[in-house]
Amino acid sequence: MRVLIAEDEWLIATVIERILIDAGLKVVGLTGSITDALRLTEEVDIDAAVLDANLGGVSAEPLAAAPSKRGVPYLVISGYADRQRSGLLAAAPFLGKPFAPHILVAAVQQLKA
Amino acid sequence: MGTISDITERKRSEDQVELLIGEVNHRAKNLLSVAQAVAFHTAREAAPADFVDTFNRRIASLATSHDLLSLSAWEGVNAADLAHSQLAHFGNLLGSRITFEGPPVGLKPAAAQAIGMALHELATNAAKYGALSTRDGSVHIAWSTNGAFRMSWIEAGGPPVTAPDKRGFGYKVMVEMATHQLDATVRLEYPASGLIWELIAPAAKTVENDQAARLDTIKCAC
Repeated sequence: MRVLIAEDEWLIATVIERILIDAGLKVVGLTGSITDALRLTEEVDIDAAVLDANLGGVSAEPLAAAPSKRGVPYLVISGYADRQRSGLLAAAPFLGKPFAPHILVAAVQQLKA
Repeated sequence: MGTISDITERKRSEDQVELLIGEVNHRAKNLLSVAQAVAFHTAREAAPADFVDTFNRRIASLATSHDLLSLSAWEGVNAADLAHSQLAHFGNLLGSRITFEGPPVGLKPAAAQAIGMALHELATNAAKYGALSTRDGSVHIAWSTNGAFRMSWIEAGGPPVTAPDKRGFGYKVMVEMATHQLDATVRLEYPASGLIWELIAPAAKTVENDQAARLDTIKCAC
């Protein structure tokens, strides 16, 4: 399972990467910018994405449109409360930060199920 | 008439309080997530006996930067204050073997947090292996803003330096984090004379300089 991670806090992004790799998943992209993430969803084959709801102070909603269009499922993660999401971000599975590793792995694996 | 206006005013004030509580909650959770990430990375590389000490120092460093953020009402942390606070535990070495040079610069919250953590790792490294591990080594920390924000950490007079054979949490924070979060170019070199770290980042990512940027910060600092 090839996963794209869009998370602007580098230490957290690398934790997510490590957790997913340890669970046997393949991380094909790691970025904190919406522009890079959009480019990666066009250029790289992905099966799922983990999107921080807020990248560099900007809502990741424009980013959610790209995987949605291609039928790629994605998990939204955020330190904001669940009800503070809107639009496409509100429709996707959600995981509040901080989270335990096994919960993240289960949530990502469920995307493909 | 007066009553309607009172109610409108009260509603607005309640909305503001709700917004503020939501933002405080968000920031607390983000900081907890960063603390969790620090624990995760530290546990992967520190010897079990060193974990608690290393982890606690890193959390204390984060807390120090957050004190400054709070004191500045999240409107820009003075670079000199940030550098001094991250090195405060060296006591009377400050101003003698540890020197600072740069103009007043207000750093954006995300930049202050990232640079604060980098300075902590540099300081820890210098005390263990570098210029602050001997009796006469020195560290010079300088910064400037001229289009971009530039900060350097230059060690001299310590034991002959060799590059470490593996990249750990320090490298992640000193180089990768600044590169990714601040769009910075970071140079980390190990000439025999002493470690050199230099960060050059776009002012837009690092320096708090205008009203628009400040409002943006208040909306979301993470």
